[in-house]
Amino acid sequence: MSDLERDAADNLEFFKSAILDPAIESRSSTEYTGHNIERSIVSDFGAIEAAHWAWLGAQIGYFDGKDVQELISSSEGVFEAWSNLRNLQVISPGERWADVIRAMEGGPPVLNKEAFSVATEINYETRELLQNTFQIFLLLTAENILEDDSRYFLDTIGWADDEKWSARRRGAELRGRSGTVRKIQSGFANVLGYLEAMDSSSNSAVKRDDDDPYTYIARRVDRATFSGQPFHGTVVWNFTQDARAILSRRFNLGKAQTTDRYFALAGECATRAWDDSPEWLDARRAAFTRLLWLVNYAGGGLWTRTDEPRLWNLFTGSAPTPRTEIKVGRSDKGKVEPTEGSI
Amino acid sequence: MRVPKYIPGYGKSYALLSKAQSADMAVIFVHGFGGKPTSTWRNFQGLVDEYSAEYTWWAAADMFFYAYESLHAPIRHNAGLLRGFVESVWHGTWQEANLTGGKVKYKNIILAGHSEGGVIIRRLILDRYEAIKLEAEKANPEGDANVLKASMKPILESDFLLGSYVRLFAPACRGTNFSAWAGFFSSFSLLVSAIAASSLVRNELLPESPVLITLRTGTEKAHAEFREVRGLYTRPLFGVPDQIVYSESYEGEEPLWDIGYDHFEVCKPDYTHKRPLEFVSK
Repeated sequence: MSDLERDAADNLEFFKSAILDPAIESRSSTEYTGHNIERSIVSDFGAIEAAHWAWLGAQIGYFDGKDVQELISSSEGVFEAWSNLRNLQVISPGERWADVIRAMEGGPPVLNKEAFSVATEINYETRELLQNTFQIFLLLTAENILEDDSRYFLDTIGWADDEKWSARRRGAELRGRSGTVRKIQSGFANVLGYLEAMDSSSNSAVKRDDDDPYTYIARRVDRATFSGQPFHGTVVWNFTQDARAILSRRFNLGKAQTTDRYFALAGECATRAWDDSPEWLDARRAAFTRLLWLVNYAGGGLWTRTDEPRLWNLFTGSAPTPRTEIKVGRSDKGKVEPTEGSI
Repeated sequence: MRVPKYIPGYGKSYALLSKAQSADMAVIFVHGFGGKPTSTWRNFQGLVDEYSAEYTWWAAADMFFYAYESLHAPIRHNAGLLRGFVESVWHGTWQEANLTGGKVKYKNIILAGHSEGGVIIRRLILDRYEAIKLEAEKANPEGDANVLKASMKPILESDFLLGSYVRLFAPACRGTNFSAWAGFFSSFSLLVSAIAASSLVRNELLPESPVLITLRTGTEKAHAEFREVRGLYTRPLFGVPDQIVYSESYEGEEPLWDIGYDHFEVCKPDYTHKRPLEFVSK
């Protein structure tokens, strides 16, 4: 076995222990609410995300394409998660995010193996940079997002109805047995820490990259990158946007209601540290701006760009103003296509 | 590129082992209040190899990123858990196959801490010192101070933990300024401050907390008696500005400054911020 082959095998083992196994195990998480047992939508997203990370890792040579395909293909939980989200109409047919798996006519869903090609045009230095950044992405995902508190928080803020969201964040849900307000707080901290670290690591890689434009992932040249962005100059930028597209879907920030909840919750936290000094008021404004950026990063760009005054009111606890009327098309159904990383 | 290996029994703690045959140094990273191993210490993970021509010691260093409950578990409890982790790293017992045949692989160990992590490291060192002192006192119940000191000296000097190089980024050893966390610059620190409001550890990290005062007086006294014991002395590196911790250290420990980097940035190397790579060294 060559050094490269050994590295790829070690990488695969790490991926399995850090991402795939915890994502599959997380699918057994359930919430007991009275007579009902609720499955975690976010856990299903996690399992499909694992397939996406596998795909992205294969593209940049972090994994051996064949080995990682076999690993994902043998992980039933990934396909069950995909079927669940399809049945719940959370992901729709033809949606690019769901494209990593395909349903054969009358048969079970299978991995879209065509996607698992290696981008051979990437030069050595750039590939090193991509692989290093990719590994950091996996570590950040493992330690922040696959935590139980994060799952509970994301299931609640992103996918629960208003009644449940309100009850859970105030500790007033009488029938729920597994959640606490502390979990909401801790999950929120994990999520913001994750987004900040992912965004920062991506920017760092892009700044480091001084390559000439390369074609990135040959099969997608004719139809833009996976992230849905127009084809951009550098390999690294496209790579970071693909990572962003992979992670965004579970947040459901394409939905205005979810974005509103993030700003209202963050505002409550800011108020807890309130001291009304000029420094605090300036800091509150800075925190709002940063939150706009992070929500935009995770797929809420539609709202952060168009509805800033209203979000500010939510953040500061001022009287709410009506939501800006926007034709959102598929985004309103929970479809998130991240937009360019600026507000 | 180094591939992470999780360390059984220690949650999300992981190792990034050097590929050099001659790796003889272990660097253990301990994050701070509300931190995580990767979020706090990025991008040590990739940059140590990229800059190994400039910072040569990293090529022969195994890196260990320690994860622990930093919000709700007491400092002394966490110091005890860290001791178990450091012991298993030093003796190589965390690996399924003991590749060194029972021999200790390392010549040196560096303990790198950020914020609360710095407090836990210093508590770990003082715990070890006090344990050795207690044993010496038991063995010499009638001994005078000079006899006691002479009996302790060789034990202290040969102890791997007390011989560690301690490298602290913005340690919270003289207390945190939670009420001034309004100086946050990011939504993350805002959240941490909100969580801190109801955290047990928050009280332990207040400037006048018995936990911090006991740690300071104990360490200063031990260092005054045994100046040659490396682990009892350090020069911490503080960012400027840092609104989170008091930028002060123990008696005789002159702080170092990293201008333009705040509390959260000071421990994060980047392509334009290499000071952390340089700071974590023998």
